[in-house]
Amino acid sequence: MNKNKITMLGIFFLVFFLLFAFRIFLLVSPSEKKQVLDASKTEIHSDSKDELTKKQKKNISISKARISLSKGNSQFSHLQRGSIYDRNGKILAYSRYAYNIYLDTRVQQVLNLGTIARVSEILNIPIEKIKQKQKQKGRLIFLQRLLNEEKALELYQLKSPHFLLDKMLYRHYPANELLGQVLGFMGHDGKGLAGLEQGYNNILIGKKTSWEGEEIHLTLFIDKTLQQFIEQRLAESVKAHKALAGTVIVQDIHSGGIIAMANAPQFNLNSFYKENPKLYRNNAVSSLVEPGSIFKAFFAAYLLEHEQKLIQDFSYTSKGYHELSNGEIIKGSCKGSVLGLEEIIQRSCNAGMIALMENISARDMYAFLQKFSMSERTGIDLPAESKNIIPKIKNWGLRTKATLPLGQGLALTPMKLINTFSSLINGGVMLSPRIVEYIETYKNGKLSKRQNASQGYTTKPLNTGLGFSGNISSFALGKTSKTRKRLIKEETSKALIDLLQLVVLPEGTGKVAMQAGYKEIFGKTGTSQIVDRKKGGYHINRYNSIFAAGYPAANPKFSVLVLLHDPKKSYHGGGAAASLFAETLDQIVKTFYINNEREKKILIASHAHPASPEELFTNGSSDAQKEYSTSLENASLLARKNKTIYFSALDTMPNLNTLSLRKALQVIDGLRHSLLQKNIKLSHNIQGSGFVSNQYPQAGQPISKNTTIYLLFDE
Amino acid sequence: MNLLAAAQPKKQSEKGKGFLKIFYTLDIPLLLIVVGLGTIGVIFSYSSQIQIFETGAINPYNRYIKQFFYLLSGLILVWGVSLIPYRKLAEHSHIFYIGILAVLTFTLVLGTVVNQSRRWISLGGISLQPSEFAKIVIVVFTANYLDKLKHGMNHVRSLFILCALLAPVFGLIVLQPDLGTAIVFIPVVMIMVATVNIKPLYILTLLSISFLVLGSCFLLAYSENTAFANGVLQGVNYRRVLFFLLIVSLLFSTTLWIFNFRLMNKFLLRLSNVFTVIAFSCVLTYLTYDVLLKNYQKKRLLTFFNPYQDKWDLGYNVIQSQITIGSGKIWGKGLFKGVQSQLGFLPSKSTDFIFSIIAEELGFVGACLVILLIFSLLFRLAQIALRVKDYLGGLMVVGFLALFSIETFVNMGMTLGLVPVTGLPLPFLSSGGSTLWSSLIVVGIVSNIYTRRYIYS
Repeated sequence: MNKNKITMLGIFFLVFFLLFAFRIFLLVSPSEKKQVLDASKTEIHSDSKDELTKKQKKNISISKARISLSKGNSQFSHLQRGSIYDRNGKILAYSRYAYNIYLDTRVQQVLNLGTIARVSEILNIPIEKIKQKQKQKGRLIFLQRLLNEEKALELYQLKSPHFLLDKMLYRHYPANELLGQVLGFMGHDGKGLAGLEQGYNNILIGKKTSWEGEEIHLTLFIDKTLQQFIEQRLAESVKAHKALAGTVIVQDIHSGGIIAMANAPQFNLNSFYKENPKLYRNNAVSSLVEPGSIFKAFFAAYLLEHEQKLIQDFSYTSKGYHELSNGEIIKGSCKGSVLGLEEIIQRSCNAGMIALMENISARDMYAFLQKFSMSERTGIDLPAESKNIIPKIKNWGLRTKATLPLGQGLALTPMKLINTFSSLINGGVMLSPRIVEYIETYKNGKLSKRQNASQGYTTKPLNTGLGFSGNISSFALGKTSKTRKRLIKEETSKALIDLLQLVVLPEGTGKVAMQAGYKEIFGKTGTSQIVDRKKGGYHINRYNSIFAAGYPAANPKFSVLVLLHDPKKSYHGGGAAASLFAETLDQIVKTFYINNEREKKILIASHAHPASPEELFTNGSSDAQKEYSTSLENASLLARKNKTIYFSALDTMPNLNTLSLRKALQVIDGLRHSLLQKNIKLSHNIQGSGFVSNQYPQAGQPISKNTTIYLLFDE
Repeated sequence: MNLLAAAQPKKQSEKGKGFLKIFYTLDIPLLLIVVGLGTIGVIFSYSSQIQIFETGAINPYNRYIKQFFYLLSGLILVWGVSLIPYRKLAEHSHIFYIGILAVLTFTLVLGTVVNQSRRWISLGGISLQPSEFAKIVIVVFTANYLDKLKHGMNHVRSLFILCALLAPVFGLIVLQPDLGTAIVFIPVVMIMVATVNIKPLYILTLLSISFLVLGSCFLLAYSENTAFANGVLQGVNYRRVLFFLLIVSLLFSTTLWIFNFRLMNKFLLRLSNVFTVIAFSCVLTYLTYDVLLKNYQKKRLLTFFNPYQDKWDLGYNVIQSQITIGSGKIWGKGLFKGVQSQLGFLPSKSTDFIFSIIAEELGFVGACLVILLIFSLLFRLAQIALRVKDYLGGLMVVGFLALFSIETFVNMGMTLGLVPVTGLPLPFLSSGGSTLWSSLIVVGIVSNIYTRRYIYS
């Protein structure tokens, strides 16, 4: 019995022994199936194999392993990151392959001069520099990053063991600076670090399990052409008025979609690591500004809604200041004459506004602010939105109550300001602003899923340590148009628009806005003093120039906010900001043909090519240009009548005037990149040297198939 | 030393002469194997510490000296423990049990935190891992308890009492958290209970419950973490299936049980019990999966099937271990020349994955020899268990055998990719004082039992 048991146990252990031994044998025997990172298996260059000592062998295997590791890592994280498109399907961000080149300094073979010369030719580096790098300390010396595939292939064909290639995916933004703060960028670990890349990181990465053949497309409300124009004009305006920064937001007041969101100064997304990190901040959602007189429109809406009688009875003669009941004096800008609400708004009269609002109780004012949830974030799908500052009613003094309608003592983000303005003029319903319209999932090139954007946005707190921090509140996220909250009556909204139309009349503060010649503009100017954070109170001579406007008055569709931070010239809201608005509006109308109700389409009369470019160059006269533009307008009018020739939007020509040759070519290169997606080939022709003095096609004009861009340079 | 004199078997006393007399309590074959394994452990703790940096410098270290010290002091411990009659140990097992409970509680409150778990208490330079010693206490305590049940385990009640008695220690170790060590107790106690005169039905029930729970945990982890590629199982929610199963089996068992009142059919009663077992294991699965297992542990279950799925994180050590073993080829790379370990590819190489280094440096042949050595230890233990005529002693040896063999199988299986990754050490080979000492104490107790096999019977 005992013996039997012992034999049984012996057999039992023997079975286990055999199992383990067999497993080890399996591991030991070589198999092709396993794709392993075996340090010892990596091949050493066959000719020099025998000369190497064991220690050197080990060293080589380190480097090899390390390279393959980093390769594996980058493939792992960057693979198939989704691309971002604008509303017309123009690409804004995508991933592409590139190579990093290293020089291995410890290869035993001699690196001959011929190879160095060839490499320097391919990489465009001087020969001396490569020689220098060879003498540097350390094993792997970085030669060049993000090399394109053709060049990498050429290098590879040299078969030199000294040069190592590391393939990786990286993020490319074809339009360089365009939408910089909104799109954000991606770090080397494949995580989005700012803007949409951060906020939609989880969506863009896609699910790990279903990588193959799946592609994510984010489609934005942004119109690239419009954005491009606005950013250019904004940058120019900021420069011209010597402002510190500027922001322009264009919002569709019915859907809440952001059609353009421009910030100045800009930064290049493709080399974000070289730029000043302070530029990464998206001022449109992160900065807080006092709205200034624009806020009069807000309380005007309150008066129109609740106090019709008061408005009718009210009249006031301004002394140039207003005295509060406790004797405090608040300066007003206007003097004399009997003022009603119309004139108060039209001339932006502080004293009149205070006198009018003295009839309203603080509680009612606060309730109205609460109704618009003023202190909450808008909930736009961008990270790092700031919370707005509204003083609590228990802290209100007499002065607070008096100055609030003037837009002092509270601070809003530009986004909140324009969103509130939009909800005042869209018939009085609450809006949740959006930048991403929808998320599409393509499987093997076919659209498999289209999802509302609000569902995919990260709502967890973000703190990247890069200067962005803040919570993205879930406020208004996921709310659809069905559950929109009504804030004011539709009639009130209409009355307010009528009121705001007065502002842009020749007597009003915003008359500059009428420059473009559109009659249906309505808006409100604002000139807010900048808060001195060190000393408290306000800076004496520093202002924000703000203009908020809508168009067209009969049936409003768009709201525009223009904000210039601390302009030194014509700092009034009616000055710097309003003139920029005029240009912006012109472009909006051209882009969307608002009057024709034909949105998202741009008319192109491709058959009508008036004055030839040669003529343009030889004459260089303004007559030829005029002829060209008028004939183009006629052609488009003709096309509008016939309703025959419609094309989906193509890129328009940017303004290259006064740019250097290098910068101009960079812009054209960017254009070419984005147009390649649509099989449009660009070529360019350059005459002269120095800076661009003339160009064809003109700025703002569309680029059609096989366009040649002519640039005339002048010293 | 009256006790010693009483315990002295005549044959031995005649054999032993002079000074060597004091060592008669030791079992020589067992000791030889253990010394051999311990020496291999010290050698490879040295090997595992060689590290080559990019500059070619070699890591200065002294850990193998510590390990050597542990081995020497442990061997003295073997002798010391072997002098204490094991019956005394068993009789006072409740004191040890309470003591270990106190120490474990102390560890949980004031232990040093390493890798987010409190497993260690430091006593002036030496840090001890009480859970290693808890293993011995548990075996001795269970053996004593089972020995007291003269008639064997014929009531479910006594099984439940045993479970309830062992639960605190189990819970305290789980709380550390050290699920790997805690879970070893279950099969050890089950094997010990199985040796007792017990109804085979109980064993069958216990086995089926544990298999059901394990299997459904795997299924749950699998269904939650990976999409089924294709086929019939696509998109099945196993949580729902389990819930359905629970409801149905509860329904069946109660119905059959009620019917049984009328019909008094034995078959129906059995069937009812089967459904009860299924329902019980469903509940247990929920408890294990949702309460006991943490997220990373669930993922580990998965990576066991396909380590390449997460080859940079959870699958990394398994893959590296397999590469290490495979790179050793038939004859190995030579002692102290293992590249995989020296370049830092293999994680926790001196403790959990020491076998991989052995296989890398000594190759297939060396690894097989080492496995044979470990198995000869287990075989010797089994032999002792069969030769001991005392019920209590036999039970204890069986417990220790189960402990060692499970640790060995799990650890080796882990390095070979046959078992999911757990933090169990390889007895006598893995570095670490507590592990080695507790293993050597076990050797002391076992040799004590073996030398006294004629006294108590």
